[in-house]
Amino acid sequence: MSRKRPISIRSKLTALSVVATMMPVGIALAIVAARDIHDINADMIESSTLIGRAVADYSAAAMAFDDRADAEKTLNGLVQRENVESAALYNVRGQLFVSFVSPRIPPNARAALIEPNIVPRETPSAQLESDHIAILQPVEYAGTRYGTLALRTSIAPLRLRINNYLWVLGLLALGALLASLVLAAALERVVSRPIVSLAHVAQKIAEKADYSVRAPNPGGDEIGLLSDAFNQMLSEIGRRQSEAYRAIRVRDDFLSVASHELKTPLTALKLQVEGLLMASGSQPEPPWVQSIKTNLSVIARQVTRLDKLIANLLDVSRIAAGRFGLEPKELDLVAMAREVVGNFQPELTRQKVTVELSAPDHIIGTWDPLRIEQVMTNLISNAIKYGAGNVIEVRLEADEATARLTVRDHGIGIAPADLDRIFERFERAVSVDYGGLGLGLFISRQIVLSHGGTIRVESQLGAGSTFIVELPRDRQGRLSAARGT
Amino acid sequence: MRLAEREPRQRRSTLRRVAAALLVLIGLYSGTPLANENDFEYNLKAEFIDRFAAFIEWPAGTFASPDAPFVLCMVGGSPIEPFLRKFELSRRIKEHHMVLRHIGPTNAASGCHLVFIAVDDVHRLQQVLSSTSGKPILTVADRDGYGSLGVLINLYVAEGHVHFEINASETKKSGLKFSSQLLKLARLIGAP
Repeated sequence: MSRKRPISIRSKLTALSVVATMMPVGIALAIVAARDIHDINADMIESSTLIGRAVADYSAAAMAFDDRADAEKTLNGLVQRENVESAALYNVRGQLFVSFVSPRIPPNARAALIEPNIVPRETPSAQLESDHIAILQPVEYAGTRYGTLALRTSIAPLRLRINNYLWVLGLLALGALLASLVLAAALERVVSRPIVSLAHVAQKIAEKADYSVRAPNPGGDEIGLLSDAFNQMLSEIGRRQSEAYRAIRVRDDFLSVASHELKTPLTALKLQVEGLLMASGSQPEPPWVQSIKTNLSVIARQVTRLDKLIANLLDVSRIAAGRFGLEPKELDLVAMAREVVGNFQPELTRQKVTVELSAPDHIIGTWDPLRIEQVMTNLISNAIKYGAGNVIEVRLEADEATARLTVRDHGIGIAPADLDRIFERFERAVSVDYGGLGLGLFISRQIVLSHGGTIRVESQLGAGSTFIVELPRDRQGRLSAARGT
Repeated sequence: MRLAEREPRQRRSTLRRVAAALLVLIGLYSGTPLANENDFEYNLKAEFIDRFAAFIEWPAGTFASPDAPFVLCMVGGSPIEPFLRKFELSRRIKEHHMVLRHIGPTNAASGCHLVFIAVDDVHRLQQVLSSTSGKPILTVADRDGYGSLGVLINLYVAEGHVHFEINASETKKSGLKFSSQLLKLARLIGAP
C-alpha cells in the first residue's frame, strides 16, 4: 500500500486561504447572480410589456376607426426595436386586423409567428417562453376595448445580457481567487517560513550532530514558543551528551588505572610461579612435590589467562584514549603464522583439533610484530573456541601490495544479525559462556585499521565462519590506505 | 332615464353585445360589399360619431351633473338619424346617456355637445357654424368641402372606406381637446 504524498504547509495554507475566500465570495456571487438574473428577466419582461402597452395605446384610434394603414404604420415602427420579432393586432372577436414581422426573421419562419385568430384578452399578460417573451395586451381607449395586441420579443438580448453578466461575475471570481492566492503567499511568509527555517535547523543538527546550533526566534507567537522549546531541548541534549562523554571518560580512566594496578602485582606473581616451576624441574620428585607441581601448573595457566585479560583491558583503554601506537618493523608473516600455530599446539592436541596452514614460503612486509601476532592469536583462538572441534583452515596469500590472512572454522557460525556487532567492545555473537570479555575482535580490528588494513567476516549459522584480514605490505601502502579511509 | 336605472353590469353587457354586432358589420363591410351599402355607410358613420366622442375631451363643467345627458343635435335630415336614434337607447357617450335633438339652423346651438350638420346649403351651414364657432361644440358633417368651411370633423368616403378630415384651426378655437391619435388618423385642414 502506497502512502499518500504528504501535503506541504504551504499548499495547505493556500488551500485554506482559497476555500476561506472563495466560499463566501462564491455564495455571495451566486446569490447576487440569481437575484440579478431574475431582475434582468423581470426587466426584459417589463420593457416588452411597456412596448406592448405603448403600441396598444397608440393603435387604439386606428382600431376604433378601422384604419388598417395607420395601424400597420404603428406596428412597422417596431422595426427599430431590435428584439421585437412580431406584433399583431386582433379585433374584439380575436380576428387578425394587421400584423408585423421583423425583417430580421428568416422568411420561412415568418408565417408561423402570426396566429390568424386568438382568444380576445381583457387583461394584459406577459409570458417568458423558452426562446421569446409573449405579450398579450388589450387595446383600449377611454375604457372601451377595441381589440388585442399580441407582441413577441426575442430573448437573445436577454441571453446576451446574462452572458455578459456571467462573464463579469467570472472575472470577479477570478479576481477573488488571485486575491486569495496573494493572501496565501502572505500567510506563507508569516506562518510557513519560520517553521521551514526551524526544520532546516533540525535537519542540520541531525546531519552534523552539532548541538550548539540554535533556531532563530521569529517572535512571541506559537512558532516562537516552538523555537524556544526546540532550543531548550538542544541545550538539554548538549548537556546530557557532555555528561555522557564525561561518564565514558571516567569509565575509560578507571579501566586504564585498574588494568595497570592489576598488571603490576600479577607480573610479580607470574614470575614467582614460573621460578618455582623451573626450580622444581631438575630435582628428584617425591610424590608431594609432584602434587605441588600440578597445582603450580594450574596456577601458572590461570595467571597467564589473567595476564592476557588484563593486557586486553589495557589495549582497550589505550584505544579509548587514542594512545594506541604501532612499532612496525620488517617481518615474515608466514614464519609468524607457523610460530602462532605452534604456540597453540598443546591446546590443539588436548582438544584433538587440527590446523591446516597453507601459505607460500615467505610473505615479507612491514608491520608491528607483537600486534599482528595478537590478531593471529585472537582469530585462531576464536576458531578453536567456536570451531566445534572441526578442522581449522589458515591461509596466507599475498600480491605485490597486500597480504591476506584467512582463518576459517567449521563451527557454530554467526547469525546475520550479529555480524555487525561482533567487532564492537564487550560484544560476542554467542550468549553461552565461552569465556573472555568479548574484547578480542575489537582490539584486532583496531590493530588492522591502524595498519591501514581491513578485517571482515563471512559466516553461515551452523556452518562456520571465515575471517579475512587484508594488510598493506609496506608503510607507504599503509599510509595511503589510511589516508584513503 | 330608464337606461340609467338599470344595473351598470347589465348595461355594460348590453353595450358590449351591440358593439360586437356593429363590429361584425364593420368587419364584413371591409371584406365584401353588402346589398344595402347605403345603410351600412350610415351605420358606420354613426359608429364613428360615437367614437369621436371617446377621443375628444369636453372642457370641465360641460355637464351640469353626472345625470345630465350628452346632447346630440341634428340640423337637417340625414339617413344617419335612425342609427343615432338607436344610440339614444343603447349607448352612453362620455359616461352620459345620449339624447338626439333636432335644431333649426338659426336656433342657438347652446345646450348641444355635438351637432351633426346635414344641410346642403352653404348659407345655412354658415348660420349653424356662427352659433357653434369658438364654443366647445363638436360639429360633424359628411359633405365634401364642409371641413374647410369650418366644420370640425367632416366625414368622407374614399376607396370604399369612411375617412374624416379635421379642421385644425377651428378645433383650437372650440376649446375641445382632440386626442393626438385622432388627429393622426385624420386628414388635417385649415391653418394649424
